[in-house]
Amino acid sequence: MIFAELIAWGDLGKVVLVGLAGGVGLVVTWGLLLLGLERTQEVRSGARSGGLAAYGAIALVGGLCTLALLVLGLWALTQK
Amino acid sequence: MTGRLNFVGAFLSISVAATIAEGIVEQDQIALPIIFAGLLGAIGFNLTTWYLGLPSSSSHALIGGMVGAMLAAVGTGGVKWSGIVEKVLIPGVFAVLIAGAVAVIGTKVAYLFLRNVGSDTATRGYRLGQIGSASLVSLGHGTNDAQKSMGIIVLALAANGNLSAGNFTVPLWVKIGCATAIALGTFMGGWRIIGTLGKKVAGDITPPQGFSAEASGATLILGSSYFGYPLSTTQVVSGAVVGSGIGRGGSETTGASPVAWVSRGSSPSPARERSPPAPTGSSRCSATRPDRS
Repeated sequence: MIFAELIAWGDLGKVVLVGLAGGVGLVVTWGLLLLGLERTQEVRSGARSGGLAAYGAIALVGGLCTLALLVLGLWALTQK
Repeated sequence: MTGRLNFVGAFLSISVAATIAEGIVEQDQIALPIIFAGLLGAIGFNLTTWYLGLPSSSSHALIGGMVGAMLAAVGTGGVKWSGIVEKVLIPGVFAVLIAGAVAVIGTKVAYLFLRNVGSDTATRGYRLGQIGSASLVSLGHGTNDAQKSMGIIVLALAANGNLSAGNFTVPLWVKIGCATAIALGTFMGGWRIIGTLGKKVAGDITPPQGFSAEASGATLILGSSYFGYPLSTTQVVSGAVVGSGIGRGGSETTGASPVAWVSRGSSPSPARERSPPAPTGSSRCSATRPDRS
Protein backbone atom coordinates (compact mmCIF):
# COMPACT_ATOMS: atom_id res chain seq x y z
CA MET A 1 0.00 0.00 0.00
CA ILE A 2 2.81 2.43 0.93
CA PHE A 3 4.63 1.41 -2.23
CA ALA A 4 1.55 2.19 -4.30
CA GLU A 5 1.25 5.59 -2.63
CA LEU A 6 4.77 6.51 -3.70
CA ILE A 7 3.95 6.13 -7.36
CA ALA A 8 2.69 9.14 -9.25
CA TRP A 9 0.13 7.22 -11.25
CA GLY A 10 -1.13 10.38 -12.91
CA ASP A 11 2.28 11.24 -14.32
CA LEU A 12 2.94 7.63 -15.35
CA GLY A 13 -0.42 7.54 -17.07
CA LYS A 14 0.53 10.66 -18.98
CA VAL A 15 3.77 9.02 -20.06
CA VAL A 16 1.74 6.08 -21.40
CA LEU A 17 -0.53 8.46 -23.30
CA VAL A 18 2.43 10.36 -24.70
CA GLY A 19 4.02 7.09 -25.78
CA LEU A 20 0.88 5.92 -27.53
CA ALA A 21 0.08 9.28 -29.11
CA GLY A 22 3.63 9.87 -30.19
CA GLY A 23 4.87 6.39 -30.97
CA VAL A 24 1.80 4.95 -32.65
CA GLY A 25 0.65 8.36 -33.87
CA LEU A 26 3.85 8.92 -35.81
CA VAL A 27 3.60 5.48 -37.41
CA VAL A 28 0.00 6.21 -38.46
CA THR A 29 0.64 9.69 -39.85
CA TRP A 30 3.78 8.61 -41.69
CA GLY A 31 1.93 5.59 -43.02
CA LEU A 32 -0.85 7.86 -44.32
CA LEU A 33 1.74 9.99 -46.07
CA LEU A 34 3.28 6.94 -47.75
CA LEU A 35 -0.14 5.56 -48.67
CA GLY A 36 -1.24 8.84 -50.20
CA LEU A 37 1.97 9.18 -52.19
CA GLU A 38 1.78 5.59 -53.44
CA ARG A 39 -1.85 5.93 -54.54
CA THR A 40 -1.15 9.28 -56.20
CA GLN A 41 1.68 7.68 -58.15
CA GLU A 42 -0.54 4.78 -59.19
CA VAL A 43 -3.31 7.10 -60.42
CA ARG A 44 -0.79 9.13 -62.40
CA SER A 45 0.66 6.02 -64.03
CA GLY A 46 -2.80 4.70 -64.84
CA ALA A 47 -2.47 1.64 -62.67
CA ARG A 48 -5.35 2.79 -60.51
CA SER A 49 -8.44 4.86 -61.05
CA GLY A 50 -9.62 7.33 -58.52
CA GLY A 51 -9.37 10.86 -57.34
CA LEU A 52 -5.85 12.21 -57.61
CA ALA A 53 -6.80 15.10 -55.37
CA ALA A 54 -8.19 12.81 -52.70
CA TYR A 55 -5.05 10.70 -52.54
CA GLY A 56 -2.96 13.83 -52.57
CA ALA A 57 -4.98 15.15 -49.67
CA ILE A 58 -4.32 11.96 -47.72
CA ALA A 59 -0.59 12.38 -48.26
CA LEU A 60 -0.79 16.05 -47.28
CA VAL A 61 -2.77 15.33 -44.13
CA GLY A 62 -0.32 12.59 -43.20
CA GLY A 63 2.65 14.87 -43.69
CA LEU A 64 1.14 17.80 -41.83
CA CYS A 65 0.04 15.63 -38.93
CA THR A 66 3.54 14.17 -38.67
CA LEU A 67 5.01 17.65 -38.51
CA ALA A 68 2.36 18.78 -36.03
CA LEU A 69 3.07 15.88 -33.69
CA LEU A 70 6.77 16.65 -33.74
CA VAL A 71 6.42 20.39 -33.28
CA LEU A 72 3.79 20.13 -30.54
CA GLY A 73 5.76 17.52 -28.67
CA LEU A 74 8.99 19.46 -28.71
CA TRP A 75 7.22 22.69 -27.84
CA ALA A 76 5.56 21.02 -24.84
CA LEU A 77 8.92 19.72 -23.68
CA THR A 78 10.41 23.19 -23.57
CA GLN A 79 7.55 24.58 -21.50
CA LYS A 80 8.61 22.92 -18.27
CA MET B 1 23.88 14.56 -36.99
CA THR B 2 23.31 12.30 -34.00
CA GLY B 3 25.95 14.09 -31.97
CA ARG B 4 24.54 17.48 -32.89
CA LEU B 5 21.04 16.45 -31.87
CA ASN B 6 22.38 15.07 -28.58
CA PHE B 7 23.87 18.53 -28.05
CA VAL B 8 20.62 20.33 -28.85
CA GLY B 9 18.53 17.95 -26.76
CA ALA B 10 20.55 18.73 -23.69
CA PHE B 11 19.17 22.28 -23.68
CA LEU B 12 15.47 21.47 -24.09
CA SER B 13 14.64 20.62 -20.52
CA ILE B 14 16.26 20.48 -17.07
CA SER B 15 13.67 18.36 -15.27
CA VAL B 16 15.88 15.29 -15.12
CA ALA B 17 18.80 17.35 -13.83
CA ALA B 18 16.53 18.61 -11.05
CA THR B 19 15.64 15.03 -10.10
CA ILE B 20 19.30 14.02 -9.94
CA ALA B 21 20.34 17.11 -8.00
CA GLU B 22 17.46 17.23 -5.56
CA GLY B 23 15.46 14.03 -5.75
CA ILE B 24 17.70 11.09 -4.87
CA VAL B 25 20.04 12.17 -2.07
CA GLU B 26 19.88 14.81 0.66
CA GLN B 27 21.62 17.89 -0.71
CA ASP B 28 22.52 19.21 2.73
CA GLN B 29 24.36 15.98 3.62
CA ILE B 30 26.27 15.43 0.39
CA ALA B 31 29.99 16.19 0.14
CA LEU B 32 32.49 16.22 -2.71
CA PRO B 33 34.29 13.00 -1.68
CA ILE B 34 30.94 11.19 -1.68
CA ILE B 35 30.16 12.41 -5.17
CA PHE B 36 33.64 11.44 -6.31
CA ALA B 37 33.25 7.95 -4.88
CA GLY B 38 29.88 7.56 -6.55
CA LEU B 39 31.31 8.60 -9.90
CA LEU B 40 34.21 6.17 -9.50
CA GLY B 41 31.74 3.35 -8.97
CA ALA B 42 29.74 4.34 -12.03
CA ILE B 43 32.83 4.66 -14.21
CA GLY B 44 34.10 1.28 -13.04
CA PHE B 45 30.80 -0.33 -13.99
CA ASN B 46 30.81 1.39 -17.38
CA LEU B 47 34.37 0.32 -18.15
CA THR B 48 33.64 -3.26 -17.15
CA THR B 49 30.57 -3.54 -19.35
CA TRP B 50 32.44 -1.83 -22.19
CA TYR B 51 35.20 -4.42 -21.90
CA LEU B 52 32.66 -7.23 -21.96
CA GLY B 53 30.93 -5.62 -24.96
CA LEU B 54 27.59 -5.35 -23.20
CA PRO B 55 25.08 -2.53 -23.65
CA SER B 56 24.68 -1.15 -20.17
CA SER B 57 22.80 1.52 -18.35
CA SER B 58 25.23 4.25 -17.44
CA SER B 59 22.26 6.12 -16.00
CA HIS B 60 21.53 3.45 -13.44
CA ALA B 61 25.24 3.14 -12.81
CA LEU B 62 25.41 6.83 -12.01
CA ILE B 63 22.39 6.78 -9.71
CA GLY B 64 23.48 3.53 -8.10
CA GLY B 65 26.94 4.92 -7.53
CA MET B 66 25.59 8.01 -5.81
CA VAL B 67 23.21 6.02 -3.63
CA GLY B 68 25.91 3.54 -2.68
CA ALA B 69 28.39 6.24 -1.79
CA MET B 70 25.77 8.06 0.26
CA LEU B 71 24.83 4.89 2.11
CA ALA B 72 28.46 4.24 2.96
CA ALA B 73 29.18 7.79 4.07
CA VAL B 74 25.95 8.90 5.74
CA GLY B 75 23.70 5.89 6.01
CA THR B 76 20.09 5.37 4.96
CA GLY B 77 19.11 8.82 6.14
CA GLY B 78 21.08 10.42 3.36
CA VAL B 79 19.07 8.80 0.58
CA LYS B 80 15.64 9.99 -0.53
CA TRP B 81 14.05 6.56 -0.86
CA SER B 82 10.69 7.91 -1.95
CA GLY B 83 12.38 9.79 -4.75
CA ILE B 84 14.32 6.70 -5.79
CA VAL B 85 11.12 4.66 -6.00
CA GLU B 86 8.91 7.33 -7.55
CA LYS B 87 11.33 8.87 -9.99
CA VAL B 88 13.85 6.11 -10.78
CA LEU B 89 12.73 2.54 -10.07
CA ILE B 90 9.09 2.62 -11.10
CA PRO B 91 9.53 4.73 -14.25
CA GLY B 92 12.63 2.72 -15.12
CA VAL B 93 10.66 -0.51 -15.21
CA PHE B 94 7.43 0.90 -16.62
CA ALA B 95 9.09 2.89 -19.39
CA VAL B 96 10.75 -0.21 -20.83
CA LEU B 97 7.51 -2.19 -20.78
CA ILE B 98 5.53 0.72 -22.22
CA ALA B 99 8.11 1.26 -24.96
CA GLY B 100 7.90 -2.41 -25.87
CA ALA B 101 4.11 -2.42 -25.89
CA VAL B 102 3.90 0.77 -27.96
CA ALA B 103 6.44 -0.64 -30.40
CA VAL B 104 4.39 -3.85 -30.77
CA ILE B 105 1.30 -1.80 -31.66
CA GLY B 106 3.25 0.59 -33.87
CA THR B 107 4.93 -2.22 -35.80
CA LYS B 108 1.64 -4.01 -36.40
CA VAL B 109 0.17 -0.72 -37.66
CA ALA B 110 3.20 -0.17 -39.89
CA TYR B 111 2.79 -3.61 -41.43
CA LEU B 112 -0.91 -2.91 -41.98
CA PHE B 113 0.11 0.05 -44.10
CA LEU B 114 2.77 -2.13 -45.76
CA ARG B 115 0.02 -4.40 -47.10
CA ASN B 116 -1.60 -1.46 -48.88
CA VAL B 117 1.54 0.27 -50.05
CA GLY B 118 4.01 -1.25 -52.53
CA SER B 119 6.93 -2.83 -50.70
CA ASP B 120 9.48 -0.71 -52.55
CA THR B 121 7.69 2.50 -51.66
CA ALA B 122 7.16 1.39 -48.09
CA THR B 123 10.75 0.32 -47.62
CA ARG B 124 12.08 3.54 -49.10
CA GLY B 125 9.54 5.60 -47.19
CA TYR B 126 10.17 4.03 -43.81
CA ARG B 127 13.90 4.13 -44.42
CA LEU B 128 13.59 7.85 -45.00
CA GLY B 129 11.35 8.12 -41.97
CA GLN B 130 14.03 6.45 -39.87
CA ILE B 131 16.24 9.47 -40.40
CA GLY B 132 13.60 11.45 -38.53
CA SER B 133 12.84 8.82 -35.91
CA ALA B 134 16.52 8.17 -35.20
CA SER B 135 16.99 11.92 -34.90
CA LEU B 136 14.22 11.98 -32.31
CA VAL B 137 16.00 9.27 -30.34
CA SER B 138 19.19 11.32 -30.44
CA LEU B 139 17.27 14.34 -29.22
CA GLY B 140 15.68 12.28 -26.46
CA HIS B 141 19.06 10.92 -25.47
CA GLY B 142 20.33 14.46 -25.03
CA THR B 143 17.31 15.55 -22.98
CA ASN B 144 17.61 12.61 -20.61
CA ASP B 145 21.23 11.50 -20.40
CA ALA B 146 23.04 14.82 -20.52
CA GLN B 147 20.76 15.99 -17.72
CA LYS B 148 22.15 13.39 -15.36
CA SER B 149 25.65 14.72 -15.71
CA MET B 150 24.29 18.23 -15.21
CA GLY B 151 22.50 17.11 -12.06
CA ILE B 152 25.67 15.59 -10.61
CA ILE B 153 27.68 18.71 -11.35
CA VAL B 154 25.01 20.92 -9.78
CA LEU B 155 25.07 18.61 -6.76
CA ALA B 156 28.84 19.02 -6.55
CA LEU B 157 28.54 22.78 -6.88
CA ALA B 158 25.94 22.84 -4.12
CA ALA B 159 28.12 20.61 -1.91
CA ASN B 160 31.03 22.97 -2.42
CA GLY B 161 28.94 26.03 -1.66
CA ASN B 162 29.09 27.48 -5.18
CA LEU B 163 25.32 27.15 -5.54
CA SER B 164 22.76 27.48 -2.81
CA ALA B 165 21.10 24.19 -1.93
CA GLY B 166 17.36 24.20 -2.48
CA ASN B 167 17.50 26.85 -5.18
CA PHE B 168 17.91 24.70 -8.24
CA THR B 169 19.60 26.22 -11.24
CA VAL B 170 21.95 24.89 -13.91
CA PRO B 171 24.69 27.35 -14.90
CA LEU B 172 25.12 27.81 -18.63
CA TRP B 173 28.70 26.54 -18.61
CA VAL B 174 27.47 23.28 -17.05
CA LYS B 175 24.85 22.88 -19.78
CA ILE B 176 27.39 23.55 -22.52
CA GLY B 177 29.97 21.22 -20.97
CA CYS B 178 27.58 18.32 -20.52
CA ALA B 179 25.98 18.81 -23.93
CA THR B 180 29.42 18.82 -25.54
CA ALA B 181 30.50 15.71 -23.65
CA ILE B 182 27.47 13.69 -24.67
CA ALA B 183 27.74 14.84 -28.28
CA LEU B 184 31.41 13.90 -28.43
CA GLY B 185 30.78 10.55 -26.79
CA THR B 186 28.17 9.69 -29.39
CA PHE B 187 30.33 11.02 -32.22
CA MET B 188 33.31 8.94 -31.13
CA GLY B 189 31.33 5.81 -31.71
CA GLY B 190 28.73 3.67 -30.05
CA TRP B 191 28.03 1.90 -33.33
CA ARG B 192 29.25 -1.49 -32.13
CA ILE B 193 26.85 -1.41 -29.24
CA ILE B 194 24.16 -0.17 -31.60
CA GLY B 195 24.99 -3.17 -33.77
CA THR B 196 24.45 -5.45 -30.81
CA LEU B 197 21.05 -3.92 -30.14
CA GLY B 198 19.99 -3.77 -33.74
CA LYS B 199 21.20 -7.16 -34.92
CA LYS B 200 21.47 -9.43 -31.94
CA VAL B 201 18.35 -8.41 -30.08
CA ALA B 202 15.86 -8.31 -32.91
CA GLY B 203 17.62 -10.09 -35.73
CA ASP B 204 17.58 -8.25 -39.04
CA ILE B 205 15.44 -5.26 -38.36
CA THR B 206 13.37 -3.94 -41.26
CA PRO B 207 12.74 -0.23 -41.90
CA PRO B 208 9.11 -0.34 -40.68
CA GLN B 209 10.28 -2.05 -37.49
CA GLY B 210 13.09 0.39 -37.05
CA PHE B 211 10.82 3.36 -37.54
CA SER B 212 8.30 2.03 -35.07
CA ALA B 213 10.93 1.13 -32.48
CA GLU B 214 12.64 4.48 -32.70
CA ALA B 215 9.39 6.45 -32.64
CA SER B 216 8.21 4.53 -29.58
CA GLY B 217 11.51 4.78 -27.76
CA ALA B 218 11.97 8.46 -28.55
CA THR B 219 8.49 9.50 -27.40
CA LEU B 220 8.88 7.54 -24.17
CA ILE B 221 12.26 9.11 -23.48
CA LEU B 222 11.09 12.62 -24.31
CA GLY B 223 7.89 12.22 -22.32
CA SER B 224 9.79 10.89 -19.33
CA SER B 225 12.27 13.75 -19.58
CA TYR B 226 9.35 16.16 -19.28
CA PHE B 227 8.37 14.58 -15.95
CA GLY B 228 11.95 14.44 -14.72
CA TYR B 229 12.33 10.65 -14.85
CA PRO B 230 15.99 9.70 -15.36
CA LEU B 231 15.63 6.64 -17.56
CA SER B 232 18.04 4.21 -19.02
CA THR B 233 17.73 5.19 -22.67
CA THR B 234 19.59 1.98 -23.50
CA GLN B 235 16.94 -0.15 -21.88
CA VAL B 236 14.01 1.85 -23.23
CA VAL B 237 15.27 1.63 -26.79
CA SER B 238 16.13 -2.05 -26.29
CA GLY B 239 12.59 -2.64 -25.08
CA ALA B 240 11.22 -0.87 -28.11
CA VAL B 241 13.43 -2.90 -30.43
CA VAL B 242 12.27 -6.15 -28.82
CA GLY B 243 8.68 -4.93 -29.04
CA SER B 244 9.06 -4.18 -32.72
CA GLY B 245 10.41 -7.68 -33.26
CA ILE B 246 7.43 -9.15 -31.48
CA GLY B 247 5.11 -6.91 -33.46
CA ARG B 248 6.62 -8.17 -36.66
CA GLY B 249 5.85 -11.67 -35.44
CA GLY B 250 9.23 -13.25 -36.17
CA SER B 251 10.41 -16.06 -33.97
CA GLU B 252 13.96 -14.82 -34.30
CA THR B 253 13.07 -11.76 -32.26
CA THR B 254 14.59 -12.43 -28.89
CA GLY B 255 17.85 -14.17 -29.45
CA ALA B 256 20.86 -14.07 -27.25
CA SER B 257 21.00 -10.52 -26.02
CA PRO B 258 17.93 -10.23 -23.81
CA VAL B 259 19.92 -12.22 -21.26
CA ALA B 260 22.54 -9.51 -21.38
CA TRP B 261 19.84 -6.88 -21.30
CA VAL B 262 18.24 -8.21 -18.14
CA SER B 263 21.13 -9.54 -16.15
CA ARG B 264 24.13 -7.65 -17.54
CA GLY B 265 25.87 -11.01 -17.37
CA SER B 266 28.12 -12.68 -19.95
CA SER B 267 26.90 -12.32 -23.49
CA PRO B 268 26.00 -15.73 -24.98
CA SER B 269 27.21 -14.42 -28.30
CA PRO B 270 30.71 -15.72 -29.09
CA ALA B 271 31.76 -12.42 -30.70
CA ARG B 272 32.70 -9.60 -28.40
CA GLU B 273 32.50 -6.16 -29.82
CA ARG B 274 34.57 -3.29 -28.59
CA SER B 275 33.89 0.37 -28.71
CA PRO B 276 35.71 3.25 -27.04
CA PRO B 277 34.62 3.78 -23.44
CA ALA B 278 32.11 6.55 -23.27
CA PRO B 279 31.79 9.16 -20.53
CA THR B 280 29.07 8.38 -18.02
CA GLY B 281 25.62 9.10 -19.36
CA SER B 282 26.76 9.88 -22.87
CA SER B 283 27.09 6.73 -24.89
CA ARG B 284 23.96 5.38 -26.48
CA CYS B 285 21.40 6.96 -28.69
CA SER B 286 19.73 5.02 -31.42
CA ALA B 287 19.22 1.30 -31.43
CA THR B 288 18.81 1.19 -35.17
CA ARG B 289 20.13 3.01 -38.12
CA PRO B 290 18.46 3.25 -41.51
CA ASP B 291 18.89 0.09 -43.47
CA ARG B 292 21.53 0.83 -46.06
CA SER B 293 21.30 -2.46 -47.93
